Order: sequence, then structure tokens, then C-alpha cells
Amino acid sequence: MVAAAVHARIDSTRIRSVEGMGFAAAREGPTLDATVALTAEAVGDLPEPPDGPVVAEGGEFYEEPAERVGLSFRPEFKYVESIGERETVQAAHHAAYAARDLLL
Amino acid sequence: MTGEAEGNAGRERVEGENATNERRAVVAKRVDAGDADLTEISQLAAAAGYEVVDELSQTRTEDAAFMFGEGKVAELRDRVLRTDADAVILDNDVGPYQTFNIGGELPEGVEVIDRFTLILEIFGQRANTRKAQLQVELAQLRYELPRAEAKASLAKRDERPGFMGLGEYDESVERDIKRQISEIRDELDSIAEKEQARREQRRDSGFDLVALAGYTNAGKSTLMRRLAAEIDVDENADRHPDLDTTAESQDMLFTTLGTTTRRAEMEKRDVLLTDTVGFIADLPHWLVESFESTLDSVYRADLVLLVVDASEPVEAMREKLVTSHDTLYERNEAPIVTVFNKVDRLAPGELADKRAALSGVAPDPVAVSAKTGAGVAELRDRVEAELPEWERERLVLPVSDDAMSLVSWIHDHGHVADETYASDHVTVDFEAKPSIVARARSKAAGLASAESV
Repeated sequence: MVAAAVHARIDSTRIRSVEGMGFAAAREGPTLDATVALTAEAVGDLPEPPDGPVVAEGGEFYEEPAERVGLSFRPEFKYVESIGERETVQAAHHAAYAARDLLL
Repeated sequence: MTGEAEGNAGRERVEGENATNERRAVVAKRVDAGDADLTEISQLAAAAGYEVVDELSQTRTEDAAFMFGEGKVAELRDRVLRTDADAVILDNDVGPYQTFNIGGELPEGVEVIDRFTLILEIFGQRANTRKAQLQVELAQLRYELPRAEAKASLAKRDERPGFMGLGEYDESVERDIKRQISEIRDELDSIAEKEQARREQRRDSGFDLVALAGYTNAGKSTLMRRLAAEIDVDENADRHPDLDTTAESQDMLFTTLGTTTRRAEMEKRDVLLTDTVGFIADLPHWLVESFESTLDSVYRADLVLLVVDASEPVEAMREKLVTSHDTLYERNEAPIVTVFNKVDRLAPGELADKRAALSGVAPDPVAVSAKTGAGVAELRDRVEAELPEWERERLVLPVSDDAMSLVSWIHDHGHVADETYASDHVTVDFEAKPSIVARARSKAAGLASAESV
């Protein structure tokens, strides 16, 4: 598995700027614990720790409640809400996909 | 209670059309965790013309056979018997086999309806244009297709028409559905093309297209009437019956199904406002796609006003905003302005709290009350500010008949700031869309001694 974290400044409908990216890779199977740990590692790999929330799509963590997944993230965790957040997650998907061959 | 009164009014209309008796329904919902909220499904049931006589909810994991626990299904049967209900409405994504199993436990003749069938039923009652009818039909067929496929594959297991056999598999139903789907798609495509052409034509005539979008019952139609000038759009009126009727509005879900377009005059710019079908949560993608040509008027607008009912609790507003963003994501091309409607119902200070709590999904919203008209002037200013920029141009034209007709064309398509006549030429200082300015320039170049300053 490869995870990419994209640190971006956004408003509700678009990305204003991308501040940095972080990556992590693991050979483990896609269990919830492994996925959460990998994502946390990718967030930790960001050049600067983000001050805003960590955002992900519901499907990434098997639709588990945000409170449960959020225990592994700081400062806070939530699932995508606005179009801007969805755009950022989309950017992270592209980044992870592009990095896959390099990291695995 | 006004909701009740209007619910009855809606039912009478339905009865008039379908000559059915008043239908009584028990609503039920299962959630994995927390408390089930039955408000929306009850409102939907009322909108479809049902009287909700009882409700039932359960918090447990999904049962493969019945969706609810078996004991709960028995309770459901008791409640149906006690209230003499005609239908059970389930606010869950119920599989075909679960529907069948639950139906088997209920008294004879009691219908089992899930959320999507209910929404389709409402749409079917309200569909009064060709396009709306086609869309509803498409959605119904797409709902039926997997069920017909399941039936055919079950039938094929033990039924063989055999050599020289005359029998036919139930697959014919499946083929019929697929054929109908593709025919409806073709017809909808051609309608969508015509509408696209009409939108382009309207843009060419100097109109900016503004669409009202938002969750169902946010007050879009009322806001539209507040913003729109009382002049009807007469272009192609005979071919578009949806332009004839005023958008309906009442405290009910899905009163608007088709699109209604009205002209609204802003200070400088002429705007065409389009009112559309409301969004609703948990719709499967095929249902949203079936209504694509209606939603196109939102996706292809120059500006989208995302209307939210601000009188609801913050969490409900957030969920509805998230649903709206979800529907608009990857399809919408225009800037979005969030409008907090129904602010007349808020207590002092509540608005500021809600603005702060929702700043992530709705930055800098405009607060209005479509009912009282408060904030509408501010909304008009905001619409003008957010629309694509106009270009400013000064043309010096000779005084001739052709030039005068160009001047009047510019008046029709843009905003003339200044018009000065000298002995042999006229100077027009105006603002308009870039495409209009380009056309004015080329028209001016066609005039013999025109020069651009």
C-alpha cells in the first residue's frame, strides 16, 4: 500500500495552494489498523505539521466512524465535506498513484 | 399545523389525479448505531400523499433476511394490523429479497416501499413535463433492472426451454428494460442538446445564467420569486410549458421537479435565474444521473446560489451542505455563493454562531429571508460581484443608420455607461461580457470609418 498526504490551503470550493506532500509505503495487507497507521505515517512525513484537520474519504477507512479513526490523528480528523476538501483528497489520490511504482 | 394542512392539500391533488383513497403508512428505519431520525422519511411520505400513522425504529446491525431483527418485523406486523395501514415505508437501502421477506410477514395487500421507490413515486406525481416524465421513467427502469436480472438468473437455474422448446427465459424482460433505457437516454440526450443550445443563445443575448441549488425544502422557489422580476421569459414559451407556470412553493419536500427560469434584473446586468429540483441525501448514483439533464442547468450556470435553510440546527445544515457539495463536486463549473435562507426564524446572535460553525463548508454566506425580503438587496449585490467580469470598451462610431442599430444592439446586450453625440460621430462607453465586446468590435470594424479608442 502507498499513502500520500497533501497539505493544502483551501476554501470551500477550490485548492488555494499546496504547501507540501508526504508519502509512506507498506507491504502489509489493507486492514483498518494497517491503513490508519500508514496514513498517519504519511501525515508525519509532511515537511511541516498541518494546523488544520486531517481529511480523508469515508471509503479509505471502511466507513468506520470518524471518532474511532480520529484517535490516530492530530490535531483533529474528519471525513470530506466541502468540494475543496474533495479536490485535495483527489490530489492525494493522484500523488499516491504516481508514487506507487517508485516506492514499492 | 401548516405542514399538516399542506400535506392534505397535496394529497387531495393526488387523489384528484389518481382517484386513489387516502393511504396510511407506517414508517420504519434501522440504523447501525445511535438514534434513528424519522423526520425526513415522514416528510417524504407526506409529500407522496401518505398519512403517517405509526413509526418504528431499531438500532442493530443489518439482518441478511429481514434487515430488521425478526422480533422487530413481528412488531411491525402488529403495528400495521393495529393502525390498519396500507403500506410500510422503509428508510433504508433494502435488497429485493429483504423486501420480499418483510412483505411475506405482513398482512395481505400491504405494500413495502423503500426510500428510493418513495422518492420516485413523488417525482412521478409531480412530473408534468416531457423531460421530467422521461427522467422519472429512466430512474424507475434503472431501479428495476438489477431486480429483473436477479429474477432471470434465478429462473434460469432450474428452467430450461430445451431442444425444440417454445419457452423463453425471463431474460426478455431484462432485454426490454435495457432497450427502453437506451431509447429514453437518446431522447433525453436530444433534449439536453436543445437546452445547451438555448443556454448558449441566452448567453449570447447578454444574459448571465444563475442557478438556485440546494437541499429540498431550503426555500429555493420562494427566493426565486423574491429575486425575479415579474416579467416572464417569453422565448420559446410555447415549446416549454415549464416556463408558463410560476414555481410552486410550500413547506413540503420536492415541490419543484422541473426547472423554471425567470428573468431577474440586477443593477447593471440582466440575469436569468433557474430554479431546480432539490438535492436529498443518500441517493444512489443512478438516481442522480437520471436527473442529469435537469441538474445540467445547475452545472452549466455562470453562478450557483447554494441555498440552505438556516433555521435548522447546525448539524442538519452541515449534513445538507455536505450532500449539496457531494452532488456538485466534479460536475459543477461555476463559482458557488452560499445563501442562508429563512433567517427571519433565527434568534438574535444565532446567525453569527452558525456562520462561525459552518465556515469550512460555507465561507462568507449571504443571509436572507426570502419571505420577508431581508438581505435580498445584499444578495443582488453579491450576485453582481461574483458573476464573471465584464470588459469595458469605448467605441467611436460615425453617425449613420448602421451605427445607430449597433448602438441599440449594445444597449440590449450590455450596460452603457456613457453615450456622447458629436457632429459626425458618436462615442459609446460600455461594459459587457468579453464575447459581446468582441462582437461589438467586429461589428464596428465593419462600419466604414469606425475606430476604437
